[in-house]
Amino acid sequence: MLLLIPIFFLSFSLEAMNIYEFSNENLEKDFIELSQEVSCPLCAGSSIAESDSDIANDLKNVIFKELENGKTPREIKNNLIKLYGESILFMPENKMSIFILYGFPLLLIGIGTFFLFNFLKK
Amino acid sequence: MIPEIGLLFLVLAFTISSFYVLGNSFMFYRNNNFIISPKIVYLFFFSVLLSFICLEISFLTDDFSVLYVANNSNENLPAYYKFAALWGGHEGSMLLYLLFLSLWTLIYYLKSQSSFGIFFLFVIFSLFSGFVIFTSNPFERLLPFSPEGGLDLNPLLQDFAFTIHPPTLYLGYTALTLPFAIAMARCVDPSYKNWASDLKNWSVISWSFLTLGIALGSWWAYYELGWGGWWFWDPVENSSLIPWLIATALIHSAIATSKRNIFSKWTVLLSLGAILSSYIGLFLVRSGIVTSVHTFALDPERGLILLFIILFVLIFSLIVYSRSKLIDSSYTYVSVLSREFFFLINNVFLIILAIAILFGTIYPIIYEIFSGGKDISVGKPYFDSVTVPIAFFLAFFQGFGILSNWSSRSTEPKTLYVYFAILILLTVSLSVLFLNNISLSITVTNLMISGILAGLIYYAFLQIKNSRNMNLSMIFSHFGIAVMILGIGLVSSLESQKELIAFKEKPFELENYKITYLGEEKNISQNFSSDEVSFRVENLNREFNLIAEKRYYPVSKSIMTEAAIYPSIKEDLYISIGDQVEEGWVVKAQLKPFVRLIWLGALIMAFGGFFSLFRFKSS
Amino acid sequence: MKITRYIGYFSLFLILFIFSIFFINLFEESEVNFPEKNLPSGEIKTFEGNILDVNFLKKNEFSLLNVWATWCINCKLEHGFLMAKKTEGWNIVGLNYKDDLEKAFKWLDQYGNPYSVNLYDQDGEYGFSLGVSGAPETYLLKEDKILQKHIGIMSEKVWKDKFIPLINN
Repeated sequence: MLLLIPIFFLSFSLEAMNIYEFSNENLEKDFIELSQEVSCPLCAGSSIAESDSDIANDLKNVIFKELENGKTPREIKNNLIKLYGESILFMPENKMSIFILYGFPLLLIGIGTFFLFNFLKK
Repeated sequence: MIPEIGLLFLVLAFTISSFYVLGNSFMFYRNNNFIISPKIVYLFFFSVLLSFICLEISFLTDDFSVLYVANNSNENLPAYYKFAALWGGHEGSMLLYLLFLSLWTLIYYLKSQSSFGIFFLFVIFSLFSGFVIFTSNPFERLLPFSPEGGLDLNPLLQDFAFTIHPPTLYLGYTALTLPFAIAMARCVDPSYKNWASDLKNWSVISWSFLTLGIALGSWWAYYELGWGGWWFWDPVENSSLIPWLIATALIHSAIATSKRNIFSKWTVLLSLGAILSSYIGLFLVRSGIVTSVHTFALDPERGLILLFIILFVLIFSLIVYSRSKLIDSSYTYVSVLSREFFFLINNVFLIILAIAILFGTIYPIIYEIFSGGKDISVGKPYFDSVTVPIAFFLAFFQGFGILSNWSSRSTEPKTLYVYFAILILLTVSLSVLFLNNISLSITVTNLMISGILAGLIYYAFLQIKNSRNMNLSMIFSHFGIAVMILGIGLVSSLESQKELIAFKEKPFELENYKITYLGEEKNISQNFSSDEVSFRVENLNREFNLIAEKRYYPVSKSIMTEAAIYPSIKEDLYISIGDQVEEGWVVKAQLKPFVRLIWLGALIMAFGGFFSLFRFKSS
Repeated sequence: MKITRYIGYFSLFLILFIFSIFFINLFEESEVNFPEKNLPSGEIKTFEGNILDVNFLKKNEFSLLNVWATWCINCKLEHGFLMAKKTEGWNIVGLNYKDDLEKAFKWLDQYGNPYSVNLYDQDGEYGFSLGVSGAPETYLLKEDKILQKHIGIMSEKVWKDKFIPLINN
């Protein structure tokens, strides 16, 4: 559920990017999603979708080509990780990290709620 | 000569503050008393001011024999940017920090009679001025003299908004030292009567400046970076957001303490938490352990010293706190509908959010240590998914919190019913307004702002009905955050873009705008040359031209995109250009509905804060 | 209240944890691991127009691969370091990234050439297969394997902290 939340901040109202002519719509959707998950290595937290820098455009080109060549988003991500390390993606891949990253705030909320109830009982 | 004089004045200020601290520690140990003379405080402030002025003179006269000036300025910079270049790097920005710290110290001294507060302010000043003098001297000379005209200031930074963004933020950060000092003073001196209201006022000053500073940074990033983004969850951005969140909690806690004599321990600890989080931010930005566009990379040794200073402040304050007696008026019963309880909920969740954001920011560092060196990023998806639910919760309860009464006067259940009625009414009306664009995120936004507005509306109604004064600053601040949330929700849900290659005189469409690339012009300016690409924009109501630029800065050999923005409250039309190709230009046109509400909301919030300091106080 | 006390201890623990993380990180910078991988096999020509012969790299146990360009201002700042390393006998291969060949020649003439051989990557494709995100970047090679990578200006300090430990291993 939590993972759905960032989705409404992914702009689904994005229109066609004519710079890249896709052979089918699904590839285009994949492209939009991927380019919002891949960070531009030298920019301050922007995704390659947002950034206009050289390296962002290079990455977009490569992703476009690979999608058209039939590679799945998973394969493309793995390839990018091999080249640039896991830090090229906005979320770490390993399950442990994801568990800790989301678990910790949940733990805090639990503690906080418990504390609040305690205060009331007073 | 001037740089040496500048250093001398700084050393003088350092000496004054540290001797005062040492001398009075001794005095306190002996006689439980502190002494302070006005002359000392004025001399102290003017020394720092003069030191700052000396560095400015070095910048304005292009004294490139000073290493810091050579690294951060250039003889071709317009005078104003030379002035601002002082805070473009680590050493100079620390001096600016010290200047503001001394300024607040002087103002505090003039407005309050607590010498204990001054003591703690001087402790902090001594630590940081010592740090600057011994490890980060901005007056250090470059030997031999460098004949080049100086390395240019990053062209990104040659922008008015960007030059006032750090000072505004620093005014906020340094002001955060005040609640800390006041809290410590109260711990040491139980007879400090108005400590809570003093603390509240200074928290508000700090918070207002932080709000403005953060908003300026966001606005600047939006129009300067050329990509249309306004928040990136960059570690340095987060470093400013975390203290802001804690300062918000602090204000509420201080209000409760000053009005109802409750939560005093929380107020003290939050003051400590606020200043500590700002120091952690300071450390993150300057230690080089996080890489970002924003960071000043320091060597590990300096980072270590900074870390030790922060640790010292932490331990020192905890010792002072633990030996203090903070007694609240005893409460045996706090109703679930009481304002105390809502403040508590508010603060608990603000703190949770602050910690979560801090955690996400430093998680890559933690992971690197435990995984044997692997690099990962934690970005937007994480921060958005953590912030939105918590913010939703906070916003939703804000409205009713505004309506709740302190325990002395119980909150009637009737208030709750009317509030919900207004809430539902608002939510439905707003849904109708956005009928064409209904989505999950629009609904979430809707609920959040309806929650706040329903509370504000009913509050205003009740105050008028009962002939009571309205707390205008509270209304402004809470209305401000509602406006900001509205802006964020709308722009995130409704923004649209088109990225394509534009050919001359061949129009393309974006929503109901028809955009045509007309041509380009080359231009030479004082420190850059540019391609100015013009567009004609037409829609139902109007027709206008926009110019987007690509600037080339010769000294730093960098290329900047200046987006063309047609602003309005309803939406921004945002056009940025990429590379020139044979037949035309790569163009990205975006529509950003209501994005200006974000910064307008921040302005209203800050205004509310400042307003509370000036309004006629009846109690 | 008991819970407040526990929360207090928990917060203190968190703060100290954060400090330890920072402390460790300040000094563990040097031991950042890098997954060992081979130099990509892409088609890349030298300035002279020949394809890079990997055996050339095998002649030296360690080499540096330095990504540079005439448009890169920071590259000028590390140039002195590279020249010094060349005098010490280190083999430095240049990767001229998204640059103009003529300008590159002029640059090397004017400032000095620390490279034993230069690869010409005009469109950046080879750099991409290497994982380059810009200039300057420097790779530490053991024969034809990449041991470590540094993004940004090279200096004695980076050399000592990042590369020497791996060389000595």
